[in-house]
Amino acid sequence: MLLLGIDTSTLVCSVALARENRIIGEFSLQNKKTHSQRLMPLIDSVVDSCDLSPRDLEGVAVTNGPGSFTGIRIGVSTARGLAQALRIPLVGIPTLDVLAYQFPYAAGLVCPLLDARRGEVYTAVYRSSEGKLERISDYMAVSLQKLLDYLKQEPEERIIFLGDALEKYRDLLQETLESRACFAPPSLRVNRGALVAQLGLERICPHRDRGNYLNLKPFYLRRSEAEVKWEERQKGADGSAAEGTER
Amino acid sequence: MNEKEIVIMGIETSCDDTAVAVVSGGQEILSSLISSQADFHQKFGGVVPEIASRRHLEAVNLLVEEALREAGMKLSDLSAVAVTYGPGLVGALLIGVSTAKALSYACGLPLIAVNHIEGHLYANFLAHRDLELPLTALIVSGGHTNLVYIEEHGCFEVLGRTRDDAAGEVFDKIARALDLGYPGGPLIDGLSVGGDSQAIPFPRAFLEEDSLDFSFSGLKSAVLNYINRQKQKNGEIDLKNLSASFQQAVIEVLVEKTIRAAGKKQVKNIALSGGVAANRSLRSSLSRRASAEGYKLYYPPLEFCTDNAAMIASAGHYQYLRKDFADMDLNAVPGLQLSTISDNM
Ligand SMILES: [Zn+2]
Repeated sequence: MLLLGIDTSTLVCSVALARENRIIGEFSLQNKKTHSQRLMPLIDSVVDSCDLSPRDLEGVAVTNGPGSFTGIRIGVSTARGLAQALRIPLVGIPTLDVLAYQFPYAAGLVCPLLDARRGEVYTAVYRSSEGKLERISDYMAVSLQKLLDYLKQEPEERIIFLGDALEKYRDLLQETLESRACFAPPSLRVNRGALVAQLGLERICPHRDRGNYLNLKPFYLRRSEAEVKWEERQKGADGSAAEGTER
Repeated sequence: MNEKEIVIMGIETSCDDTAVAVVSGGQEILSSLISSQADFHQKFGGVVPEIASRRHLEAVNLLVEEALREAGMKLSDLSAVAVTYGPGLVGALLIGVSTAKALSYACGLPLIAVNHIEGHLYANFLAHRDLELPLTALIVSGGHTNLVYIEEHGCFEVLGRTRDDAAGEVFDKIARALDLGYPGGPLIDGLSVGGDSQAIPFPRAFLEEDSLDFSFSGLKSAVLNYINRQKQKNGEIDLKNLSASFQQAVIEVLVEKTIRAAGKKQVKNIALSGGVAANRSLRSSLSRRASAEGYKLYYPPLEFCTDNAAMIASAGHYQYLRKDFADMDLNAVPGLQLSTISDNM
């Protein structure tokens, strides 16, 4: 099965083509352009460079969150459009899984950190051993302090940190967890289309209903600010009004 | 090539309506679907961009499917995919743009990037087969107020535009100040019916002698000040008179400048379009004035005044004829303006 993997959930724009047990092509960019400008040209290039045409695609896997709301939507709407036009199955892969699966033989914990702004990170904790990775926490949007409290409860295992919020919190992690904290090198720190494609191949069902692209939604993990504020206002917990933007 | 065989899919997601249409020959609407989000935004008193983007993504593919089914077509039967790339809310626009790019790439169809304001103008071509160029157009809605001269398709001259608030935006703000609800235009239009348009003297901004630009911020402040003053002294606000007086102040300026523009360009035809073109009082005032001055006025049926995708497909049809296609790096341009375009550029 020829599968296209797409990741636009962070600043990296990455696409890959893969078949079972083989990555055929992968392009990644982290430059100044927006995902909207980069994604389709990258897909076009990787397909073309592999001497394939869009009609050859048999499935699409896309990172569907958490991460940048706009980035996720560009990836998911592109993937939905491709799956719809080509009548091929589509599967969504959580951003944090895509990161963690770079370390299946880590013998310890793997903890991706994505900057969720407002003093929080998107994160989840995985236990890695003998080629298997098991997620042992929920997908979370939490302050680093909450994550540290959680990690301190765990046995004295080594923890590999990666993701785009790593540098921001490096010193704090080092101080708190001391020798338990390990930091992935830049090449193993970012989201990659090849991992999305590989996880996609494991999870996609080739016989899945061809209309399944309609069901794939972004996994935001957070509600919109306006909704949160509106509910607070309804509860009377906060007197301030939710500011809608007028047309 | 036979024009009748050109079939364009239009996709529109610039604000809070998700719309997809299939149009043949630039005029024949094979399907035109709209999924309105108004209910979701009402409680916030305006469109919340993040919620609009989320809703568009969930709605757009189903609309594409339905629009094709109604038109009795497959994607591969289309000639091209046309999409609004601006102006509008960036996150909302990106859903349409990303979807259109993916569909066009997968099916090997040309991609056409349509300016939303231009789209509103083409709502008139959908409805009026006899509409001939050149013409002068007033395109007026919640986001834009433009006076345009169109010599031929793809050849525009912007004669005037708003220097501050768009006309429709002022309707929304006044409606909100009066707690009428959202959107404000139809509510104020409805209240005006029984009101006295001369009851409250609001200012009309005609700007410089020869200018065809608009400015509605002064009027907006005057109305908001009036409302505040009445509230402070616990005075009664006659909603009907206030609505009628405010609306009349907007319409007088719109009508006067449109007639001046038509005179300056010596055209026979005037086209009115955009969301505010649904305003009954504007339609009738401009109709009366235009026929008195010897112009023929065209405006679209109500359903094509507000945002829709058939108008985007129709605009796309004329771009298709000129092979005005977009590349795969097309981006949303939230602040896109209608600019003067000549054919020989
Ligand atoms: Zn509009």
